[in-house]
Amino acid sequence: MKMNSKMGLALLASTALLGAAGAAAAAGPDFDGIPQSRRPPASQPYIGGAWTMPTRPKAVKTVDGKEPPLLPAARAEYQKRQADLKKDPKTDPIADCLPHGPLRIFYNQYPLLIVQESDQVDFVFEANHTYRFVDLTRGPPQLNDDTRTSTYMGYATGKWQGKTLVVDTMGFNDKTWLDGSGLPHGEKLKTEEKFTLKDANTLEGVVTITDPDNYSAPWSTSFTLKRLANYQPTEMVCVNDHKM
Amino acid sequence: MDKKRYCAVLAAAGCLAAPVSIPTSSWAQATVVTPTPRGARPAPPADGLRRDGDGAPETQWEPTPPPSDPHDLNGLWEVPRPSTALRTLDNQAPPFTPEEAKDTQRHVDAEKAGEPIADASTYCFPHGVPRVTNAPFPIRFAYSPGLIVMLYEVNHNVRFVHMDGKPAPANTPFTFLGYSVGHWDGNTLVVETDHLNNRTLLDSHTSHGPKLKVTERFTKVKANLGHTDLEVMETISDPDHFTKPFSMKRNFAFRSDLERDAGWGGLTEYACEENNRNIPDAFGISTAK
Amino acid sequence: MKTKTLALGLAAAGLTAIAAPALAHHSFAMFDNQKEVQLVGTVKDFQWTNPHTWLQVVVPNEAGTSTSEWSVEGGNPGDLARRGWKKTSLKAGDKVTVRIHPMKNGSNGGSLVGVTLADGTVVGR
Repeated sequence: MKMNSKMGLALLASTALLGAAGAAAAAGPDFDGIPQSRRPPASQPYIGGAWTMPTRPKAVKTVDGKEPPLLPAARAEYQKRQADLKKDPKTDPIADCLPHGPLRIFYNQYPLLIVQESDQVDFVFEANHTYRFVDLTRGPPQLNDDTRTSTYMGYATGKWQGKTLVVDTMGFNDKTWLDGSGLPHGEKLKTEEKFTLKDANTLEGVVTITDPDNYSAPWSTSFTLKRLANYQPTEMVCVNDHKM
Repeated sequence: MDKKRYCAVLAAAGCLAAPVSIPTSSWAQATVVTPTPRGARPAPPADGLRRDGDGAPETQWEPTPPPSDPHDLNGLWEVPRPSTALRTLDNQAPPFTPEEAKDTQRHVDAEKAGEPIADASTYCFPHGVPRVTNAPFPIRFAYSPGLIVMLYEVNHNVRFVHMDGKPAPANTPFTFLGYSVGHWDGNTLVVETDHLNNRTLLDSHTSHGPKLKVTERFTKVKANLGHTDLEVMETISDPDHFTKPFSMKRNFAFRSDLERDAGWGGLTEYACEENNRNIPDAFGISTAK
Repeated sequence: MKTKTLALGLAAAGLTAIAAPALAHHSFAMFDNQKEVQLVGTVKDFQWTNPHTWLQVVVPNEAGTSTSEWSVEGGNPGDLARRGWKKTSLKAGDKVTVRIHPMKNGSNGGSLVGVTLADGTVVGR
């Protein structure tokens, strides 16, 4: 496939020094040197570390394998995006190096480092050095605070429910696509993400999309991340036409 | 135009002189008023309290203290009234090599002419070190096994500080934020960074080369009002641009007052590509259009 | 009386510090910080965007026979939010008095120093 320079999420720095996903993590995290106050409780599953998504469908489906329940106007927008995309790949918003937005941020070839701490979890995506901060000490943010709206990645809070990390996020703009095929969302979007370890090297994410302006009902999709052993962080910077 | 009312409004904020009409007739509604030089530091307040760029006096900072463990740097840190300028500890110009002195002057002259020479950050690339730490935006630290992750608000810069005690591996590429190795020296986090590419400036004027090494020493120290500062001592070494290493110091304030809103731990989203109207022209000159 | 003067002085100092957009993304040397221009006009668009906010203001000439549009670069949204600004602080149609450091090259633009609404409210801190 011919790579458009503007589309290219190019690795400026180097190739990632990635070890194969392996059993190295099974021994558990080494918190040596990390202050006690930052360490997650030993009772929590450890989802920290580096992850990658080996299988990445361009169009996400519901957990039942169906197309999400698009409302008529949203379906029209979705079809328009797909037609535009065929004509010009630059109509994809990530062509401008903007953050990928909710859900879609997981669907790329670059590693994700999850930093799990006592009172917060950070999702540090190598893709254009995008990070999310998940606060475990507060309830969900309020949408009506207009200093906290219209963001690409939203505002996230989370809590542990048994063995699952549940993350609530809102305060999005409507400029990103939920997947590479152009699934739309609006500013009223709320996501609920549930992260559960299936085994030491497998992390399942189930994401529920609630967006009454675009979908007739909340719907859920899921993905699987695999652990990367011997992760070396790499500086990944998106390049587009107007860069130096 | 109601100049009287306008100045009354300004007076509440310290308007010192009445507006005078600008001689250009084409936009008579635009009037020259008393200059307020940008970047001019206000005189130290008589109450002796520090203030941030957001106007909040330090009495409002730190409603809750940082963790008592000196190795736990969790929380939101921001430098009050920061300056990106390169100045030594005794407030002198850095020990430039003659070539760098000339090149720095070229940047200064370009600014004076209203044609500032852009560097990486203006194109929305990462800021470089130590510039990213000196930018006027808050930062956080996060702890992962083997790594301390520095999360910067400005252009969502992320730095990974390797705590494994090993130097940069062979063939480490030169990047905007370089390769950082950290260790604890008592209560001080020492971060040594090299492999920095030369597409960033150290401030707005001064270049660096491949031999640049930056050592940052982060220490929680006692501050005014019983508060805690995060002091950072930065030592810059680049024999191709400076005749000897030099150091700078900045103090971050602990801004738990800015952490109150849920999400992002007080950091806001800085998606630089959203609406960058300062993209440099074909000559690398920053614009505003 | 002395106290009052001091209070005014502090307010001025505060305003100066507030008004200056944070110097992180680019140099502000294209603006003439020795000069301040006051624009009286109508908001066309307030762009609450990164890396900087932008205020488009339509300014009529004295006779009211023509207008010119000015592009005013403000601080970063996160930075302004910490100073009490919101996305909704300004909207199209608002009558405003805007103080700017004008472009050195004489084009219709500048960097934001402060905004006052028609009712005298100063936006932000």
